This record gives sequence, C-alpha cells and structure tokens, in this order.
Amino acid sequence: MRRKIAEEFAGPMLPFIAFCVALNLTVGQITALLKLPVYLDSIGTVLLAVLSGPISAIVAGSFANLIASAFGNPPMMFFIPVVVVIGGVSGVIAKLGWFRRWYLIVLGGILLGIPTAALSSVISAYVFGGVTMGAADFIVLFFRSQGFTLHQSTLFQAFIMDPVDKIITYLVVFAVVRNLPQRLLHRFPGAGNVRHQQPDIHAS
Amino acid sequence: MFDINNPTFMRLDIPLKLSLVLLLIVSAFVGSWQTNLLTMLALSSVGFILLLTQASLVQHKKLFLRFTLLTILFSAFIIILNGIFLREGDQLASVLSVSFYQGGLEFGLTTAFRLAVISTSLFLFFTTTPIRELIYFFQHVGVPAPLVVILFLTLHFTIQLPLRVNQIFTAQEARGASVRGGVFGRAKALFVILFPLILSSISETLERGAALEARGFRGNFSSGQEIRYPIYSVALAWTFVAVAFVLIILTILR
Repeated sequence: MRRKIAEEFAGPMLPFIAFCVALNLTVGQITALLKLPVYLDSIGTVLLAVLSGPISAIVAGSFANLIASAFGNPPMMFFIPVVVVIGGVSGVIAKLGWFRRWYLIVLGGILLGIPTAALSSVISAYVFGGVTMGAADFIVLFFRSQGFTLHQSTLFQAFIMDPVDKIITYLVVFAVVRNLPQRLLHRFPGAGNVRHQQPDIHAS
Repeated sequence: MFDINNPTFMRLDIPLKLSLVLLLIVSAFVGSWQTNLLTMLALSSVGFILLLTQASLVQHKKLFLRFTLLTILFSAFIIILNGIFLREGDQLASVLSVSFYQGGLEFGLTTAFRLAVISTSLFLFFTTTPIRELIYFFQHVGVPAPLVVILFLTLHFTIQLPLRVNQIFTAQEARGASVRGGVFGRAKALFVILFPLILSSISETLERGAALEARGFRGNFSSGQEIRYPIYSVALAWTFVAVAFVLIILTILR
C-alpha cells in the first residue's frame, strides 16, 4: 500500500495531479461556453483514477472541491464524500480493465451513478435543503412543487442527472486515454488499465 | 491607532482566521435565518471597511462588489422561487396572481442566508490571506510536501487552462466547428475542445514532472520559513474551535 501511494505521488506525477484538479474546475467553463446541460466536473478525477490510481484521484477530487468552494461555490466542499466514492470506484473499475471496452465503460458509469446519486442526494437534502447553487436546484424545486418530500426530490433529481453525467464522463475519459500516444501512456503507472502491457523485448 | 500600511485583519494569523471560518460555517447551519442575516451583514460590513481602508486590498474592490451583488441576487432568487413553489403554510401575499407561501419563504430565507454566510466567510478568508502565507502554514502544520507542490501547481493550471480553453475555442470556431449549433453539434464540439486541451496539457505536465525530478525533487522540502504564532492567537483559535464543537454537540442533542 505504502509503495502504491509513493508511486501515485512520485515527483513526475505531481504536475499531472495538479492538472487534473484544474481540469475538474475548468470543464464546467467549457460546458457553460457550449451551453451543454451536463456537469462533467469529475473528468479530472476519473482520468487520474485510470492513469494513476484511486488515492491520487481522491486527493485531486477533494482539492478541486475545496478550491471550487474558495472560488465562490461553497457547497462543493460538503460533497467531498461523493468525490471519495468517484475516485475509489473509478480506480477499482480501471483496475478491473473495464476501460478497455466501451460497453463496460457504460456499465461502469451506471454503477458509479447509483452510489453517487444516493450520497449526493442525502448531502444536498440534509445539509443544504436541496439548494446547491446549480441548475439541478430547478429539478428539485419542480419535484417539491409536485408534493414530494425534500429527500425524495433530491433523490429523484440525483438519479436523473448523476448516472447520465457519469456515463458521459467515463466515455470522454475512455476516448481520451484510448487516443493517448503510446509514448505518453507508458509514463503513467496505470497504463496497464487502458491497454494490455506489451512485454519489453529489450528487457532480457 | 489604525495604521493603513499595517493592515490589522491581514495580520490575523491563519489558524485564527481558519477557526473563525469554521465557527461561522457551523453557526450558519445551527442558527436561524435572522442570525444568519445579521452575520452576513456584519461580514459584508467588515469586507467593505477593509476594502475602503486598506491599500493592499484595493485590487479586490471590484471583485468584492460583484460578489456582494451576486450574493444578494442569488439569495433573492432562492427566497422568491421557494416562496412561490413550496406551497406550505399560510398564503402570505399575492402579486400579479402569483401567491407566496409562508413555509416556502421561511425555507428560502434559511437556505439563502446560510449559503450567503458560508460564501462570504470563505471569500473574506481567501481575499485576506496571501497564497504564499497559506502555503507556509500548510508546511508548518505538517502537510506532506507533495500535496503542497500539487496546490502550487494547481494554482498555475487554474490560471492557464481557461486561457487555453478560450484559445482552442476560438481556433476551432475559426476552423468551422459547430460550436453554436444544436445540442449534438455542441456536444461534438466538446470533444473538439477537450481533446487538444487534455493531450497538450498531459505532454506539458510530464515535461514539468521530468523537470522536477531532474532538479532533485524527491517529495520533500528543505526546512522553510519558521512560523511562530502568538499564544493569544492560538488560544483564541482553539476557543473558536471549541465553541464550534459545542454548537455541533448541542444541535445533535437537541
């Protein structure tokens, strides 16, 4: 375990972890520019979970949420438990080799969407009363106006949005890692999660 | 005496400011909307006094004004929407055949002012704390060096990436990518922007990593600047933490 952590946080990996934190914060800007109705704010976390490992992914995701809180979106820091689930589950899915097949990725996105939806709905309902300063607030409000309780409303909203968001996130990361040049991919500890490692013919 | 070149609030130590932010966040959750409104007004007043009196914060003036305006608009938005759509309690008023309900308005007030207190306290903390000082503090409390390096580098990328996104967006638009078409066209454009952004950035991060390694970075720092906080500051910080803890316990018991 200690060796694994040391590998994930080795000197050459640190700028990549920092980039993934910034990517989580910036993708929101791209989706806003393109007026797309998705968050995709965990692309950096998933990319890191695949190319490096779950621990660095959890750290990067947590940093991204803390920084987002500092930059004017305070509810984000209360969603760190969701980031822990995203990083951990994505790391396991990547380790299982699911990032080698697109249909397994879709399944993985659905599987990840369920616990994240359940967890984020609880945080959203009990900590913020369903208001998290995002577009999802309107969906929560719609369900509440239909007579559902606060928790039911946040749960429905999360189950509508989270699995779709996670499937798209996984597909984007899948497309990125599949198109990474071999010379770059092999510099990451998680290269084997994406493509079968070729035995080094020069080793012997 | 108040000295404009010796900003008092800026000299509040980071542990003290952090513990105060913690206390404000906890009180935002346990207090009523009236308490939160008063706290927010007090925080905003502190912010305005600092901006008007301290030369070192002049560059944050416009940012704070924009932040305050957004907070007011956002709070009003939450309160009005909840007042209209949450039909709980008595009907209080009807404006242009739109009815406002007491339960919805109270819920809106509670949520809006809670978020306003949290955002304002965090905003004030980050505008009055130089990043260099914050990083020294992290080193002082024993945060591992790799995490501190990640924080430093994140700040660099957080400034660089939006500029790069705008460059790629403009370039792809000039090449005829349908960045303003229907949903599918724009979804395709997402890939057209994301791919060059991620691929070029990965190359850059690997080069930076190699540079770090070549300069001998092995996940540790030389002993940096030694920080000593005055005893009264530490005592006050621990008092704030204790009060926050007591408030949490009392809320749980209640």
